[in-house]
Amino acid sequence: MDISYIIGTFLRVGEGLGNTLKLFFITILASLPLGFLITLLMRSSIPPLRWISKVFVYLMRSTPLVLQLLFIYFGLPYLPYVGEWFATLGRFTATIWGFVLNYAAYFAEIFRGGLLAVDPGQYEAAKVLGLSRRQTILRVVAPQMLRVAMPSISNETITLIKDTSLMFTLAVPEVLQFAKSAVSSTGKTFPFVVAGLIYLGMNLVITWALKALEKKFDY
Amino acid sequence: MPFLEVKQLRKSFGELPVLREVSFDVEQGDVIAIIGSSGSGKSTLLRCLIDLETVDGGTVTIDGEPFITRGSYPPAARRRALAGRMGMVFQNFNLFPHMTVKQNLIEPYRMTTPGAGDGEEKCRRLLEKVGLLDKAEVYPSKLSGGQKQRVAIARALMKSPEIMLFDEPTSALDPQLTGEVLAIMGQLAEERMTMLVVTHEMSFAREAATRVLFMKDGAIAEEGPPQEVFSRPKNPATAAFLGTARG
Repeated sequence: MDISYIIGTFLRVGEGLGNTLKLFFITILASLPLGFLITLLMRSSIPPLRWISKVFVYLMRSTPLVLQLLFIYFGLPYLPYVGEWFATLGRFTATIWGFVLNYAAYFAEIFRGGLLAVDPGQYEAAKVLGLSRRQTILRVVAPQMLRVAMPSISNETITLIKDTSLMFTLAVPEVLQFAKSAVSSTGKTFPFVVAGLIYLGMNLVITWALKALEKKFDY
Repeated sequence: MPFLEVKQLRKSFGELPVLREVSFDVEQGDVIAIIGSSGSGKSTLLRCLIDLETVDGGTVTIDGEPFITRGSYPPAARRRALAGRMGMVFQNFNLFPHMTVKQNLIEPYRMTTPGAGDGEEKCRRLLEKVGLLDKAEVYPSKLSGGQKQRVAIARALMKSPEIMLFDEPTSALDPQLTGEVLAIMGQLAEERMTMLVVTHEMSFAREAATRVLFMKDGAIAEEGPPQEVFSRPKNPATAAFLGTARG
């Protein structure tokens, strides 16, 4: 095994890195705010909003992500009226939708736990100081909720890195996909080692970034 | 016309009546100590006045403006504006733990009074007043209970309230820390700040209050100047309470 083979394998497997990172960042950036929105809906004073958001979270957490991806890409186009629009979704776009909705449901549950940890006195203090509902949620409650939720968010983020390999469900090429095809074309298993190292490398960076973020919430 | 006028205020939690026809007047500069055993409705009374609880009936007028009229409230903006003329200090301080002392004063001020300047000078002055200027950059978790309550008082004063409500401000403190908080409150009383103080500190009620309200079972059982209420209580219930309160 010479150095040029090692570098070559890294380059070949690394070709999937673009899609992997793209899915990771879009999912994180979209599902965190969406998850918080769902948390607020689950506590809404309007009953139907509460029911719908709770059913959504239940569905998303209780079925496999792989099944959800298959359902979005192959199932939704059969819906009357809106099916046509779903039929136009590309494989990668459908995958992104599935990931964002699934992770939003998990984050919604995590945030719900975080909200319970915020002292009711904080809402009262905000009210007597004249803060609006919006200011109370964004400036007083959310930062305290995030502090409690941070370790669970970190955990989900690391799971997400690994879950990106589920892109293979809709045949979107990513790191593991490239490793597999390299293994089958060369008959050597080394590309799997390379794929593993790439995931380890990504999580090393992420773990470090999350640690730094958690420190920011230390008061 | 009295500055704050409370007439026949009623409030129940479910079946349980907590305020039964409570009426009293507050003149500007009054320091009213509200005493009574726990469950007598003292805290609920304060919470109704600053709109943390919704009443079932009664009328409250602030500076001639109707805040509650026979149990009904004005539109939201007006309701908020009227409640906003009061400040409140809680038993458990309720400082914002994710903000430094200075941010606890300045952030709510900036959020609620846009265009009133950055509040830096006012914040400095108030922290100096409560003797905590050196703690400006510290997080509340690093403060003692007495220091936290002094910050909470300064925070409530940022919006220049016309009435200050204190809900058992020293009850969560170790006895040796109550003095520093009572001293600040005494200073406010001397500056003629209008204050309603729910308290178990009889020495404060006796020395700083202009009037004492004794509450029992959701009603005012006795009221008067402290020297009268404390030395010649008219109501046997007051005498019994003061007997136990003196311990």
